[in-house]
Amino acid sequence: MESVPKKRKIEGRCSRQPIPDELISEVLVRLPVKSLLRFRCVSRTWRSLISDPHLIESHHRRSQQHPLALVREWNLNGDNKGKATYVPTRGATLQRIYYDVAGFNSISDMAVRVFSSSPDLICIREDGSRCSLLNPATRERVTLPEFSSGNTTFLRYVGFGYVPSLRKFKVARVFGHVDIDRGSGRQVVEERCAVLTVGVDRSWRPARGPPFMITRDQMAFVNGALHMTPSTEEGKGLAALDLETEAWRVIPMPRGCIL
Amino acid sequence: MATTGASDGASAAKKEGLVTLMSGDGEIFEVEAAAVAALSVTIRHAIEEGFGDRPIPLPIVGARALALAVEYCRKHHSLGGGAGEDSAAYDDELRAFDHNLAKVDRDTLFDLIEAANYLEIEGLLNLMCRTVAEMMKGKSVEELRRTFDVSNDYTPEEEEEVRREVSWALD
Repeated sequence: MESVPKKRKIEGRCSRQPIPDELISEVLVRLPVKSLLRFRCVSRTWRSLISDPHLIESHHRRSQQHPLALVREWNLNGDNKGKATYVPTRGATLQRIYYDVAGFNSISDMAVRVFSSSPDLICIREDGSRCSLLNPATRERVTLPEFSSGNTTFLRYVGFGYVPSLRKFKVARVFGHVDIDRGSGRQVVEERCAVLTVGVDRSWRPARGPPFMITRDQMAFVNGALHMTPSTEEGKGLAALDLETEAWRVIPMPRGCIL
Repeated sequence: MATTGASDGASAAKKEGLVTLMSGDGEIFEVEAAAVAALSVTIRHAIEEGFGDRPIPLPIVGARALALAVEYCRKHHSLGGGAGEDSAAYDDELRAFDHNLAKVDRDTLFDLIEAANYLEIEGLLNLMCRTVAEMMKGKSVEELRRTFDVSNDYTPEEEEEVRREVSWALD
């Protein structure tokens, strides 16, 4: 009688069959990003479930039903931290995130919303020769290779977008290349372009330069191309760099339209 | 009463629109075919395949979960909210019903998720997954392991590294 194993009874508590992973994923996809990142620490199995591309894609699709607006704030505390606020489009509390970027105050940054089945990213320019891509939801950050091709170049405009055929992001920079004209001894500035495929290229690849001098620090990524405005008001139109083919084209503007 | 396109509609009619379900633990349920077929894709297919006159075996669905799932189907069918909370018929009465149905213990929640998945009852699956997600949302790593019986298979070094990567999300 004494030999009845007591162990059995204790194990009985766990008699429930473990729930299949696919059903755990059904629950995970309904969690906010912050909880998901925290639960990566739960176990190896959970980490791999949470890192699964299908789960990420499905989570992203769901969260697009309640998009957030990203607002940049100027930092007045002098602690060199860039600040941004997420504004939910309905309900919920504000989330504030910080970009710990030296010199963030003095440079321009920009946000691009990516309309594709890939996470939304922000490109931040950190200083004259460096920029990084930031995923504000997960706070993961990729610093891109430094742009170095001698002291005759300087950073001007940066834009990026998602190339579905490659399933990669490409970042393009348009910059000034300064030369001394041998005849007159004057400085001549020529605009050039370099492209980087994120996760593939280890350095910037020279690409064809824009068809005319461009201006403003904003590039709009629409229909697979980065669109830029000209620096003079000669009515040349918009310059568009197709990120898949890396070819430029000019989109004429209606007569009388001032860019 | 209209039976859902069953090839042997005559025998289904004999039972006055009832269909027999058999849970994984062998319990028999006689339920209105129209209500369960409207909400459960799996049962709809079974009836279409001629299961109308013999018990439909549901091997992985326990009797308790099946009873709750059938209750869900009846209520939603009678109030016309078959497609779940996105449908126009999803009113306060259904919302209150769903809210009460989700007030069960953790194991029953998981049983219901498995049942809803097997029976393909989209609204019920969504309801239960959302309920579990709500329970998990604010939990710490340790609380989550405890509440949901997840064993930690990380080495201490691995766990420390993962924690470092997501340090901002830990509090």
